[in-house]
Amino acid sequence: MPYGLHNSNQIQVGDTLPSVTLKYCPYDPELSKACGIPQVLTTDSFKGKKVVIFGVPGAFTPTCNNNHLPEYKEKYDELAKKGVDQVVCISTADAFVMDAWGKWTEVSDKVIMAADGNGDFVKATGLWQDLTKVGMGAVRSKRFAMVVDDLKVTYIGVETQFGVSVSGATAVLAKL
Amino acid sequence: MVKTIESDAVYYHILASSRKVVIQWSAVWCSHCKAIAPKLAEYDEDFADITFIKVDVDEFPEVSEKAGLRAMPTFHFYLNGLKADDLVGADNAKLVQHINRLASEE
Repeated sequence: MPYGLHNSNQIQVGDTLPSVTLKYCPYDPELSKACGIPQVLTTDSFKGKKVVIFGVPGAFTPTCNNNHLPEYKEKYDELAKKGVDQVVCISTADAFVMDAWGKWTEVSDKVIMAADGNGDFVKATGLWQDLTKVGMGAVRSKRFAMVVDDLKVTYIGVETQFGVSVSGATAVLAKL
Repeated sequence: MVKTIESDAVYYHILASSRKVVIQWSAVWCSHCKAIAPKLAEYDEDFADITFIKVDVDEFPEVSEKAGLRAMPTFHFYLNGLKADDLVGADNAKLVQHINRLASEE
């Protein structure tokens, strides 16, 4: 689905998720002494599934790391009980950083740590923000969470201040 | 000294002409590959009838893609031109086992 580079239209409930290619290192418990090679993950693969996608401005950043990712890991079973097929964490970091963060937080196969390295996803969904003023570059993800059912957005929560509220696992669970 | 290949053609030539080959698929940015390198150099010295080669996946993307790798280091063990075995990860104990298995093949 084509999108403009300066698309400031944020994706809304009822919209179709754009077709975007991300990268990730698949979880494999055998690979403790190996460096995973990033594989392609396309949003097309979410067809027919109920997927929770949550975005963070950066891996390992204090709020995200202390609240956001661990809570999704902890609530994974509850989310699965409500029909969620996949939980995907997105950031504009590269796949190696996402892989390392996932291993550090010990998410195993519960959360897919997806790299939106060039910001294609966040630009296509209007969920990007410019963080040059804090030295994090011009294209970073906002802190958000969305529920995508068969590629249709059924919930979207974007944080407007510091902290995790509408983009957290608890908020998403309440909406499922 | 573990050989590196100069081209895809060299890779295929080695597989076709050496009876026993151990290939390490590697990358300069992979810390696990660096960690196991000294051990591999030792085994190269110890096992005279096995040819050890290291292939950089960034330098040789075509053969690397055909190898179907999901992580590095990955070791492929070839006997008479056919892949007999493989190992993913820098586990020295397992590596020794696999090398010995290849060495004991007639």
